[in-house]
Amino acid sequence: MPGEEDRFVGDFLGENALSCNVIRSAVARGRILSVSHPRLPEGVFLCSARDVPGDNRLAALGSPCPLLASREVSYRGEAVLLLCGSDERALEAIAEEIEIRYAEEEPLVFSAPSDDQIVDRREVVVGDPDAALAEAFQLAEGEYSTGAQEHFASDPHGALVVPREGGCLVYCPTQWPFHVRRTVASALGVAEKHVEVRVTRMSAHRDSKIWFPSLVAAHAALAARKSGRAVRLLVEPSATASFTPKRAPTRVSIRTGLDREGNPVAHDIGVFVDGGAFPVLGAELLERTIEGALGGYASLPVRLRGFLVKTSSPPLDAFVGLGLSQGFFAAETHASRLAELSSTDPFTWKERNLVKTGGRLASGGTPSHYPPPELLRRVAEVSDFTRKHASYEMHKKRRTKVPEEAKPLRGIGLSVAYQGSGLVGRGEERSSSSVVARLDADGSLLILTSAVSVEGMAERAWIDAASRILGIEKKRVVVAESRTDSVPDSGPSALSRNVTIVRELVESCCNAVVRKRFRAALPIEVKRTYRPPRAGRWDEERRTGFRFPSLSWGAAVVETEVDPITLETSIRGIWTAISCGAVLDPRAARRTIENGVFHALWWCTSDHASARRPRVLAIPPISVDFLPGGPKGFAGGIEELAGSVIPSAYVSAVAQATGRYFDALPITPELVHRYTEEP
Amino acid sequence: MTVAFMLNGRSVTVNVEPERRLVDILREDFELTRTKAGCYAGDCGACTVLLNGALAVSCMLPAFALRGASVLTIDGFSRTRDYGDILRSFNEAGYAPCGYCAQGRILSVHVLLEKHAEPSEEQILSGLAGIGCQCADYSTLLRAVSLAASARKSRRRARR
Repeated sequence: MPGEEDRFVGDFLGENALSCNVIRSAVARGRILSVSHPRLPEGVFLCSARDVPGDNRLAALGSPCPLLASREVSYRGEAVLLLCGSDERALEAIAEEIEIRYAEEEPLVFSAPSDDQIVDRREVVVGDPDAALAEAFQLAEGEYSTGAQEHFASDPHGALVVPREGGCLVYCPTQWPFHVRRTVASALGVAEKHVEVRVTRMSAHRDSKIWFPSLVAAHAALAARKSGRAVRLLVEPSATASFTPKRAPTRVSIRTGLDREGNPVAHDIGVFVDGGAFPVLGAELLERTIEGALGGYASLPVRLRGFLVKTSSPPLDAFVGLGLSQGFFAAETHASRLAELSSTDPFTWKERNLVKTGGRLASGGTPSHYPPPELLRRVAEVSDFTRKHASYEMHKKRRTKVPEEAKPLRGIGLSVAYQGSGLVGRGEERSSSSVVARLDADGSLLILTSAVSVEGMAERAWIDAASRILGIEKKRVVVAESRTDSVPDSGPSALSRNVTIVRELVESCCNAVVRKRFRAALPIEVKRTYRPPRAGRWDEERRTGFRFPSLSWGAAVVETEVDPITLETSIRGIWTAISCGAVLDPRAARRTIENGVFHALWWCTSDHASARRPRVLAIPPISVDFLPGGPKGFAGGIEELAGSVIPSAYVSAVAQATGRYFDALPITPELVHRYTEEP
Repeated sequence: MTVAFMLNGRSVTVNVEPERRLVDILREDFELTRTKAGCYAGDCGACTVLLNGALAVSCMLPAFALRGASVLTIDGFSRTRDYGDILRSFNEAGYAPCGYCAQGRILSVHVLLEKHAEPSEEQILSGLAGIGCQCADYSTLLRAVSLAASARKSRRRARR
């Protein structure tokens, strides 16, 4: 399995490799006027865009992200030059003397984007929203924004590239080895078969290693080509904090028409996503944010306009959920506000409006798995939501001014969302992900996939599935190391995709092996490529079918207490209910939800700009309830569910506690202070 | 400069620049790569070692501060029974920190249990606050530490 000799990339010492420094842009936007450098001593090499023999761009995904800036720079920290040599200290001294002069231009910002900044757009229209809004009794509007979020992966980004005849061997931590291969091969101008990528060990990455490793590996490969030596490039921690992808900031405005009883009749939604300078996964990011912003409620007339905005920030995209969580934050916070406007408690309102079995989602599609009726009921019951909400609501209405109250201020919030595993729309059809299984003469099964299972979580699910289907011992099922010369391309790896799409492929291979066993000679080798079921295939024009290959649902209640003096928020309780079909590994599943809750709370409370690692929060035990049911054989992903349900529930709870509407993440004590000071 | 210190129970001498960091000395000069290099800012705790019996982040320790000191890394600690207790408890509780921070967490739990034979939840959180990795969950951490505490107590009691 992944983990070339089970080492992290930083542990590849003693390969007699040169070190590589990346010389980065010091300005956020501008033209490069000149580059000057001291005379390079023997054995030191400098590589610029002119030295790229092939395509100076990341292998095609979204926006064409340059490997090395040539004439202009688009964000602070963009790679301009590569400096490599054997003596790290000497390299640092030379780097100090390299001078790049720029003609600076005004940075592009997210707050008020011009038309030129819009690099992608979508419009979704379901029914006749204009007529429904015109006839509405009342209109409710809100704007909800989320900030960036740091991954805080512990192990560094990096690559070791060893030149080979006609190509190279790349060792690097990546969730997508074949994308590294494509990028390196195209940068070097060689055929892909001449580049081999071996995946090294990784720590928890929160999807930080989807495409960025391709850029790092390409840099190391270019330096290796220039020097003719092996090159090791480790991205320094300060550069990781400042210049690598983060969770993309978003801004979502929602205008909802309500009838006399306060029921929603139509929505008009605007979605803006900050993709940074090069939104590499921009289309997927935008579409998933849109899906989230439409929410998990039953279809109503809706118009949604979504815009992907280019800014002068580093490329922003890859983070667990890839936009869904940001969208759900807006949809759910707005839904809680609509409930309040109609004087209905949020549980009743959300239960009433949540999509029902057989119904259509607001996006127009039908989900592959519907939320069971007990999903919301379960979290509401175990948390005593309705009683507490009513009680805190009464306290809130009686309060006059927050700081005068000496008692702790309490609030409770509830949220519901889904997780879409796999690529959105028809993305999985285009990705052509494959898995191979080979039953050998000794009765052992070898699974070949490029999917990377961090700390073995998904791998256990594959082995369990194979062992069950073939009736062989688990120890006789082996997952091959993720090396591009010996495994098929299984697409980008994320935990949820690994346990849905890749596991289904493993199962499909094993079922085919079972059919051939005792009929064909051993070894029996089967390859399967993912094809979404024809019945649920997404039709963009008619807006029918499944938007995601697999869907899981989650609900959460968060209860908070705000200190009236310090305005610090503490957690009194967190309850979650999950409907994901079969739970493949209960312990790992629970751990995934708990870990997701912590990450979601950090997103809610930590200012990303501080760049300080958050610590484990002192919170009461998290209640995690996996609900039985779901389609036969269904096991959905759960990795991003907490990120989609916790933030809105947290914000609603703080809003109820303080009596102020909050519509942005993160909520810091300073923000609470500012809001509570306002009349 | 030449610095002599105790490393994992044996006397060693290195010839290094005074400000060279201990984490680099351990990894590059002694090939003790189980001690990880993370943030180089004392924040992530991946490079945690014991310096004279106390937790220390080796990325913030310059060579000149090592003279006469005793350094215990995860490689040295893994030869002790205390290490075995902690590892077994982690496995039993299903606590699975990633390969990057596990070493720092194990050393932190060891120091915590030396201070508090039966640590409270607050003491556990504070004892492990030096590790900033995002991989591990909370409830199994509490369970793992409490199992490790029981294992250590019963083993030491049996020895007496």
